[in-house]
Amino acid sequence: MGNKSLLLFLAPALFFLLYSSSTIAAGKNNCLVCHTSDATMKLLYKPPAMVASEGEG
Amino acid sequence: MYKGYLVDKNLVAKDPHFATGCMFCHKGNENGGAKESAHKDLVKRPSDNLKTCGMCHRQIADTYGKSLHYTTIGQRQGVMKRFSPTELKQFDEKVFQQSCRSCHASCGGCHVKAPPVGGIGLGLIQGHKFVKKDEGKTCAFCHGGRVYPEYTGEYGGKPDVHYQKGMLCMDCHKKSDMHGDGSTYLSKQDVKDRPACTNCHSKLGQEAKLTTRAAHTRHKGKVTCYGCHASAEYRQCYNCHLDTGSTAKPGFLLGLNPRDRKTLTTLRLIPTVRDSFKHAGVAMSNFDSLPNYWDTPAHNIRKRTDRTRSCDTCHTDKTGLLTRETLVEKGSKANEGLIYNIKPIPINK
Repeated sequence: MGNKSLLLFLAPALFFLLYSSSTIAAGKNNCLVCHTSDATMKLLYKPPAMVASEGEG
Repeated sequence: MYKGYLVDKNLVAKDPHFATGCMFCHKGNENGGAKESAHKDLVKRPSDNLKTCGMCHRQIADTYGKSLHYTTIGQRQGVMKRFSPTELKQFDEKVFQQSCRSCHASCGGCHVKAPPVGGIGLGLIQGHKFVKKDEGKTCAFCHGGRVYPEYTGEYGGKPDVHYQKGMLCMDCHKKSDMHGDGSTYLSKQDVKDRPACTNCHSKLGQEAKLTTRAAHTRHKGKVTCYGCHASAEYRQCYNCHLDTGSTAKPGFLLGLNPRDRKTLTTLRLIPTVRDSFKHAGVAMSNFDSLPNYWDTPAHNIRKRTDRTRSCDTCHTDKTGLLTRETLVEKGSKANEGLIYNIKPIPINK
């Protein structure tokens, strides 16, 4: 019973420790390799074609 | 601009929105390696589907789906009387869905990334920060052509007194005005509890100063607050066409409110002309059923203006009042109904 309570208490703590946003984002996300690099984005970016129009508001 | 696609790496660790990874919202393939393969099946604007944000922000997503910002039905409502039933159907298919609704649809359009206006997108607001409130961006992205620069004084004249006192959009416009209150409105005019000057300035006609008290008492119900307190010229847009856009210049216009035809107020020229939608093959058989001007709450309010300083500005000089001579050329026949022939003040009264 005591071990079960300890496990129930530790499980969420371990989850948040191991799988916090930074852990997931920094560890697995390859999108961010390019999208956080100024030089890479500058290299890959293609400007869109412009159309004439007036801003609303 | 490439910086519009740069994600601030410092945010990633702090903001719980990033906890599930990019693909959770954007799809694509984070193991794609090259740009093309990584972007295959990419969802550029995930919040176009309200269910994406609604997974966590369910209540807001539910009301937002009915809000005027999302449906943009107010834009349709403002022009629909100009069309015959057949033309309206064409307008809905060829213009409304393609153009009007294209930039007003998503949560991210205000809170993450600027929607492209006139083909120009400013990109991510603050490195993909989920920005709760930053009126200069979240509101001015879309309302930066007219209202916002008029409010801040960037369009000319002095800034709105409320701006000078430190007030921004959300000090008058409530969260429910942005996200909707769950009701489906056809126009912002129908929205319950929309901002009104009298929400704060509730003791009009009880002022200590005699001239102020007299002005407020005499004009009550006849002239809107803007009619006297709008302080400068504001943007008037002309000659809008679906393919080439419109032109703009400053102007100050006073005339009868087209919605009631009895209250004198500030008017703004609507740039819709007879052949605005010609490019899409949509005519306006009933163009003359609506005027070219709508009432506008000019956002450049000052306590003292030319009109509050002297009754003669309106009653003698008729400054800014619409006349047959100043009506827009080749405009709607309904425009003449907005001209108000103001009377001089009888000297002995």
